[in-house]
Amino acid sequence: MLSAIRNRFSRLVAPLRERLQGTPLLVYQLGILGAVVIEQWVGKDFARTLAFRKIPKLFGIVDIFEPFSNLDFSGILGPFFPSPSMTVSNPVSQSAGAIGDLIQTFVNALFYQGRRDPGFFSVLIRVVVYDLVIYVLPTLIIVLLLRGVITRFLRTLPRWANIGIHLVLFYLIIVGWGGDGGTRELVLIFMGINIMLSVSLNLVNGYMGEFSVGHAGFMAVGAYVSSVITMVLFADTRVFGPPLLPPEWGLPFGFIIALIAGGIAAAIAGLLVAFPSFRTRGDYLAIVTLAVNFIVQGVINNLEVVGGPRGLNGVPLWTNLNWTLLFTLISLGLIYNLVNSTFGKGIIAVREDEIAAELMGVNTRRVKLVAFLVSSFIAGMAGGLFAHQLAYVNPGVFGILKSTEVLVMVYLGGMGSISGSVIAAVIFTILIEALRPLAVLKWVVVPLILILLMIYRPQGLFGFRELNLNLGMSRSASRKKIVTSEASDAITGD
Amino acid sequence: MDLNFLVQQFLNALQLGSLYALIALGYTMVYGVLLLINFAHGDIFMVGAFLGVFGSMVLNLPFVPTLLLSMVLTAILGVVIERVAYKPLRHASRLSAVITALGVGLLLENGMLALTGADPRNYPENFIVTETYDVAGFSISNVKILIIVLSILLFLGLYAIVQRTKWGMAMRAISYDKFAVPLMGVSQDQIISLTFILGTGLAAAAGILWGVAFPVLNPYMGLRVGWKAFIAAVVGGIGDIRGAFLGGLLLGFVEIFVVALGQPFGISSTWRDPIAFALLLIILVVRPTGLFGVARRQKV
Repeated sequence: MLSAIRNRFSRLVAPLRERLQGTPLLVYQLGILGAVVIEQWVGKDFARTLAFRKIPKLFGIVDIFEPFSNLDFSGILGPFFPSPSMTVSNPVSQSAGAIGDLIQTFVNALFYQGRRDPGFFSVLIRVVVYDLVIYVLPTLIIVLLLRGVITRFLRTLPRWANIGIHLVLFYLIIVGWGGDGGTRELVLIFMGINIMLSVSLNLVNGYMGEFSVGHAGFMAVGAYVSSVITMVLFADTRVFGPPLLPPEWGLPFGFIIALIAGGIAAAIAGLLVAFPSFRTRGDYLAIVTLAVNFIVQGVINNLEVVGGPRGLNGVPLWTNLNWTLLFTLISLGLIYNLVNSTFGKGIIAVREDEIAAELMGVNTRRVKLVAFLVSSFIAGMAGGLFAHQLAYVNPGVFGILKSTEVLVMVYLGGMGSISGSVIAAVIFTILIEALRPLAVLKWVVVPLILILLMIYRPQGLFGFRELNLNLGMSRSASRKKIVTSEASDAITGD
Repeated sequence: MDLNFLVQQFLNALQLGSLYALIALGYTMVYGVLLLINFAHGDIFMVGAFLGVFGSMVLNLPFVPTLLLSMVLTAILGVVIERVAYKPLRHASRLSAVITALGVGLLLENGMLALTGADPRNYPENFIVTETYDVAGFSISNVKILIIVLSILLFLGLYAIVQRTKWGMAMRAISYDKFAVPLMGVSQDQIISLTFILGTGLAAAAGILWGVAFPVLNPYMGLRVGWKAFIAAVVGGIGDIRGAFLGGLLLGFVEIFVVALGQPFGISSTWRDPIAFALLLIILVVRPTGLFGVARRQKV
C-alpha cells in the first residue's frame, strides 16, 4: 500500500520535477529567502488564523508531537518489576489496566484533549497548511518565476562572485529565519555544534576508518578549558573572583582565543588516543578512545577547582548564531581541504589498507597523528561553543551518551561524506528537538532509528559520496576543477 | 592498617572482580565467535537483575529458582536480540554490527526506563539473609562468599563446556575459522545461539548477584558496569575466556585497592574510575592485544 501511495505521489509531482530539473541552488535560496520574508511579514497573523497561539516551532514538527507529551508507559511493565514502595497484588490485571489507560490517553491525544489542547490530527492538518502556505508555495512560485533569469545570470559570474553570492544568501536565510534569539536560534546553534562534532568524528571514523567512540571526551576538554579561560580573564564569577582583564576585551578577541585554546587543549588530549593508535587498531583502539572519554570525565569529576561533579557555573553567555556559523564554516573548510588534499589521500589510504599505504610511502604515523589532532581540535572548539551557550558545564553531560549521539550522526550521514555528516547533524538536531515532548521515549526512538538504519541502509544516507550542489557555474568558471580531474585521470592512466 | 581491614578489602575485591568477570565472559565469548563487540551486554546484565526482581517480588521465589528463572529468560532475550538485530548484519561490515549493538543497548536501558518507571528497585529482605561469620578473628559475610564461590563455579562450568564438550569444541572451531568450519557440518547459527545463551545467562547471574551485593537496581545500572566488564575482557585479551575471568578479577582488585591503599595519601574513592581506565590504557599500550590475546597476523 505504501508503495502505491508513493507511486501516486511521484506521478503527481513528476511534471514539477521535470520542470525543476537542473535548477541551480541559488534559485532555491532565493525562494526560501522569499518564504522567510513572507513569514516575517504575515506568519504571525496566519498562524493566529489557523488557531495557533504562536508561529509553529521548527516548521511545526515540535507541535505535532506535543499532544503525546503526557503518555506514560511505565505502567505496562512496572507491576512486574515493583519497587519496594509499590504494592502489587495482581501484576497482570494492573498492567492490563495501565495499557487500557494508555490507549485511552493515546486516542485522546490523536483526536481531542480539551479546548486548550488540540489533538494530533488537528495539529497535523494545520501544520501542513501553514508550511504549505508560508514555506512551500512561495518557494515554488519564486523558483518557477526566477529560474530562467537566474540560470543565465549565474553563467556570467566568475567563480569567486558565484560562491560569494551563495554564502551571502545562505547567511541571510539563516539570520532571517533563526536570528530571533529564541528557540530557532538555539536549535541552529546546537545544529552548528553538532555539525562540527559529526564532521570531525567523520574524519577519524569515516575517512581514516578507525572506530573512535569517545568524542565527547575531547568536547569536554575544550568546554572546560575555554570556560575557565573566559571566566578567569573576563568574567566576575563566584568561582574565580573578579576578572583579570577588562571584560570589554572579552568579545571578540578573548572569546576567539579561549575557543582556540580549548581546541588546542582537546588536541593535546587527542594525543592520548593518537599515540596508542600507532600500535593498536580496530577494536582495541576503540577501547582506548572509550577509556580516554571515561578518564577525562573522571578527572573533571575530581577537580574541585572547576566544581567537580557539581559543574562550573557562570560561564559567560557569548555563543550566538554568528559565532557558531563562523566556527562551523571554518571547521567545514578545514576538514574539506584536509580530506581533498594529497595528505587526505594518505588518510583514505590508511583506511583502505594500512600496510599497503605504508609501503607506498604514506607516513602512517603522521597521518594518524594529524587526523586525531584535527578531529579533537574541532571537537574541543565545539565544546567551547557549547559551554558558552549553556552558561553551565558539568562532567555528566560529556559522557558516553553524548559520544553515542555523535556516532549516530556520523553513521546516519554515512562514513566518509562531509555533506552526509552535515545533513545528518541537521536532521538529528531537529529530530531531538521534535521528540523533546516525548521525554524518555526520545531515547527509545533514537536507537531504534539507528538499528533500522544499520539493518536496511548500513552505508548511511551518503556513504562515501558527497551531495552535488548545482552552483550553476559556467564551464569556464568551473574549468579549474575539470582540468585537475583530467590531469589526475592522465596520471592514473584511465 | 590492620590485617582485618586488608582481609575485608581482599574479599571486596574478589567479590567485585568476580562479578566483572562473569559479565566479561559474555563479551569475550561473543567476540570470539562473532568478532562483534556486543555493547548491549551491560544492559542484558541489567535485564537479568530486573528479572530477579520479578522472580523474587512478584512470584515470591527463593534465591536459587529466581537465579535460574532469570538466567533462562535472559538467555532467551539474548538469542532473540541476536536473531533480530545481529543476524541480518552478519555479512555486513563489522562496524554496522557494533553500532547496532550500541543501539540495542540504548534501546534496552531506555525501553526499560520507559516501560517500568524510574524508581530504584531492590530484592526483598528475606531473599538472602546476611550473616557474618567469625573465622579465625576475621569477620566474613555469607553474601561475599556466596558471590565468589558461585562465580567461580559458573566459570568452571563454562570452561568445562567450552573445553570438554562437542558443542564447546564446535564453538572454539568456529572462532578459529568461521569459513571452513561451517563446511564441516557445524551449524553456525546453532553455535552462535549457544554462545549467546551461555553469555547472557552468565550476565543474568551476575545481575542478580550484583543486586544482592549492591542493592540498588535501576535501568542505567548496566551502563558503567558493562563498560568496565568490557574493559576487563579487553585487558585479559578479548576472545579468551580465561583472560576475561582474570581481567575481571584484576579490575576488581585495582578498583578496591586504589581506594583502600590510596586513602592515607589523600586519593579519594572518586579517583577509582580514572585510575582503573588509565591502567587499561597502559596495558593496551604495552601489550596491545591484552594479557592473553594473540596477535593475529595480518596478511597483505
